[in-house]
Amino acid sequence: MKKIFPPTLHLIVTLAWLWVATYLIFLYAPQEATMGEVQRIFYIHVAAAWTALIAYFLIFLGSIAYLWKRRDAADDFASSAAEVGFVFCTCVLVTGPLWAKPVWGIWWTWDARLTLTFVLWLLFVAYLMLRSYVINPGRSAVLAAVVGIIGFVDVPIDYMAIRWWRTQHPSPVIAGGEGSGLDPRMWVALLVTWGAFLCLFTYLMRQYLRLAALRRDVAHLRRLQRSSQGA
Amino acid sequence: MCNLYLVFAYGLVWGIFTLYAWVIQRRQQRLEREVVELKKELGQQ
Repeated sequence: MKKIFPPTLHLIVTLAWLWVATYLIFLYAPQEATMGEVQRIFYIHVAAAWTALIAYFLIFLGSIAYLWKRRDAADDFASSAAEVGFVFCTCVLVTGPLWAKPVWGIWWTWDARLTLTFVLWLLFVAYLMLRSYVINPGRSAVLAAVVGIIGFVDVPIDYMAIRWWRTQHPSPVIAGGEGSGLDPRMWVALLVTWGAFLCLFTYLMRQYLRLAALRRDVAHLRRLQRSSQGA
Repeated sequence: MCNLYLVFAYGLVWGIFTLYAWVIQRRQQRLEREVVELKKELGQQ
């Protein structure tokens, strides 16, 4: 992977893609009739939300793989998805209220979708806290994997919440039934933004995986140092 | 007119991503230095 698509090239592609997405959001996509300019928050809000849901799905896969095979690579994969997913989920919770306030007149409400997304963010936090506070690495990996698997229950419910319960949050743009859907130019802007976010997500995951490899190197070298000092 | 909510939303999102990329880079650099130092120490022993 490093040889075919080196991190520097990955970063250049990500930045170029984000630039194209920004151009499409502000200069290509039409202005929404009722909400006006503020509706353009939608593109980063939805793209970040979809990326955060995918991130938790990757934690789920990595956690199952770790409990099954007990390979460090699976644990690193799950923890990288957790840390980067936490960043994206934070973006969802930041952009949501900034869009809600001018449109709904309130920053926040305990609506099903909003509450479940907040629960998802808490699950990312719980996963990362477990990794930091449980000192034994094997034990922290197992406990985090259990949280990763159990917490996944929230993902499909969060995704389906706006289909099952009609509350404050708008209906979905995909398969949302009558009255849902987007202008084709809005679709282009949304999908390009989501692609750019996925590219950024994978770039940050790769950076985290490099960090995890360095941590293991340091731990290994410290063990060698201790054993050579003891001998 | 420029919408302040829109500006804040985009500003905060790009800020969060940039901050996280910078933090992860710093953590990597610190660990790389540690690896070099540990290798040097082990080489001397």
